[in-house]
Amino acid sequence: MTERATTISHELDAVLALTWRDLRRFSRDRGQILGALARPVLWLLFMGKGLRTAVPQAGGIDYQHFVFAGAVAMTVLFSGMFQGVTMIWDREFGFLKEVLVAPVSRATIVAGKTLAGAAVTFVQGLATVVFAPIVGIWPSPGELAALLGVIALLSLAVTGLGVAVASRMRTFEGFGVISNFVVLPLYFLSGGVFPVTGLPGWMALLVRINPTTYAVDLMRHALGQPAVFSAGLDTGVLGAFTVAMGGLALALFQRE
Amino acid sequence: MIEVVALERTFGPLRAVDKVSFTVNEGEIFGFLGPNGAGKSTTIKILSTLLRPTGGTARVAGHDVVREPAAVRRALGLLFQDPAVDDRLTGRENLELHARIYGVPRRERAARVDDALAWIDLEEHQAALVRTYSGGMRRRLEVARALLHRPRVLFLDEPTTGLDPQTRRGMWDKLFELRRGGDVTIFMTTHYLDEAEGCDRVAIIDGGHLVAEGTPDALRRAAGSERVALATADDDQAAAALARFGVAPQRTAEGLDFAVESGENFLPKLVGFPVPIRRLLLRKPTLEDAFIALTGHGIRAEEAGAKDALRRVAQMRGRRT
Repeated sequence: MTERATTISHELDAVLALTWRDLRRFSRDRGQILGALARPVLWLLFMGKGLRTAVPQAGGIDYQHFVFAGAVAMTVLFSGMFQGVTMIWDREFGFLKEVLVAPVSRATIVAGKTLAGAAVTFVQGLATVVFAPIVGIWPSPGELAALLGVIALLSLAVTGLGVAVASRMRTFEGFGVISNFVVLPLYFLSGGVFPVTGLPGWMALLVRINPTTYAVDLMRHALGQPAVFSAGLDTGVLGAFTVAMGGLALALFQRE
Repeated sequence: MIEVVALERTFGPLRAVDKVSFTVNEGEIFGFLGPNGAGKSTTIKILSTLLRPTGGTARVAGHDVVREPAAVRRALGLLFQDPAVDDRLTGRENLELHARIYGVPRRERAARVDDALAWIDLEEHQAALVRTYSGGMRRRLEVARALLHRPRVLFLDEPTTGLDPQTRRGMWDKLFELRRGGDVTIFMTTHYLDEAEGCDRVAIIDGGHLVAEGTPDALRRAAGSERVALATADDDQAAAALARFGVAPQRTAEGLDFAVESGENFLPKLVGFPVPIRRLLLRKPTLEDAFIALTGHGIRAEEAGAKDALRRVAQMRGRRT
C-alpha cells in the first residue's frame, strides 16, 4: 500500500473506532436506552392524542396524522442536538485530550463523534416510526424506507449542529441553554406542529429559512400526505443542510 | 531526542514559559522539577503539540512541534496529569481503542494489547469496566496505553500525583524497566523532590524560568558541599589528626564539623583514627537544599485548586450515573 492509502485507511479505521466507542458507551447505559425509546412514544401520545382534542384537523388531514412528522422531527432534533453533550463530557473528563494528541485529523474526530451521535438519534427516530400505529399510521414498506432515509439525513445534520455547538461550549449548563435556544425555533417553525400556510408574513419567512421545514415536508411526501414544496427541493435543502452542519462542526472543532 | 530553544508561551500578561532551553538525550529519564504553576504542564502541552508556543522552537524526535505536529504525535506517548481513560469502557477496550486511533497494524493489535495487560498485571481485570478500577490500576492502564504504539518519547505529566506510596514505587519500577530497555526516552514533570532523584537528569523550573539543569548529583553538589560532623574523646587531638587529611574542621557545640569533597571517599580514611570517635554523621545536601539555593524558596506542594476539587466531585457523580 502507498503511504497515502495507508493514511486514509488509518483515518477511516479511527473514525469507526471512535464511533464504536460512543455506541459502546451508549449501549451500556440502560437508562439512556430506555429513555431514548420511551420519549418518542410519549411525544406521539401527547401530541397525537392530546392536541387532537383541541385541533381535530390540520393541513387537510386528521391532526394526529399531521403531527406525526412533527413528532419524528422533534425526536430527532432533541436527541441529535443532545448528542453534543458527549463531547463536553469527553472534554471535562480528559478523554478528548487523549484523542486530540493522537495522530488523526480533526475531521476524523468530528466524523466519529457525529456518526455515533447520528446512529443513536436515528434509532430514536426509528422508534417513533415503529410506534406510528399509535396515531393510526401504518406505513407501507416503500413509505417506511423513504421515511427512514429522511430520518437518517436529518439525524446526521442535527448531530453535526450539536457537535458544532459543543465545540464552542465549555460547560454543560451553557450547552443546555444554547441548544434549547437553537432547537425550539427549529422545531416549532418546521411545519410539524402547525401548517406552514396562512402564517403571518414574518413567521412564514422564518419557516421557509428553517431547514427542518423541508425535512418535515419530505416526510409528508414519504407518507403520502399533502406537502407544500416539491420532493426535489426538500431533498436538496436537506442534503445541503447535512453537508453544511458537518462543515460547521469541523470548522468550529478545528479551533479547539 | 528533545531539543528546546528559547521556548516561550505567554497567556496575556503572564509568561508561563519564559525563554526555556534544554536538551533531552535518547534513552534517558529527564525530570522537570518545579512547584505547581511553574510552567511544567505548559511545556509538556507545547512539546506534545496540544498548545502552540508564542516564541522559540522545540523539536521532538527530530520534528518541529509547530511545523510537523503529525510526525511529532506519531513519535510520542503521553500520560496526562488528570486521568484520561474512558471509565465506561473495559481496560481491554481502552487499549484496543488506542491501538486503532494510533494506527497499530491490525494483525499486531491483539498481541500488543495482551502484552500490555500482562505487563501491568491487569489481565484478570481486563474485562471489567474502568470505573471499577482503583486509582493505581487506572494509572497503570494509562502508562500501558501510552506505550502501546511504541512511542520514541514518553511524556509523563505528574505521573504519580495522588497515588499511594506503594503504587508510586510500582510506577517507578516500570519506568526503570523501560529505561533498561533503552527504546524510549522519558520526559516527566514532578513536584516531588524524591522523584527527581530517580531521574538521570533534572531541570529545575520556577516561575517560567529554567534555573538549573544537570544530574541530581551535580545539582546537589552545586547547592553546597557534603559535611562531616564528628564528636570524639578529645576534639583538639582529633582536629590535629584531621589536618593531615587536608580538611579544616570548625568547632561546634557538639564537636567538629567540616566540608569534604565526597563523603563516601572520605569516611574510610577514619578507619584506625587515633582518637576514639563517639559520634559520626555525614550530611549530604538534598535536592531540596539545591532547590532552595537556586530559587530562594522551598517547593510548595499546595493543595489542589478549587477547579480540581470540583472536577473530582463531578467525576464521582459521573461514576454513579
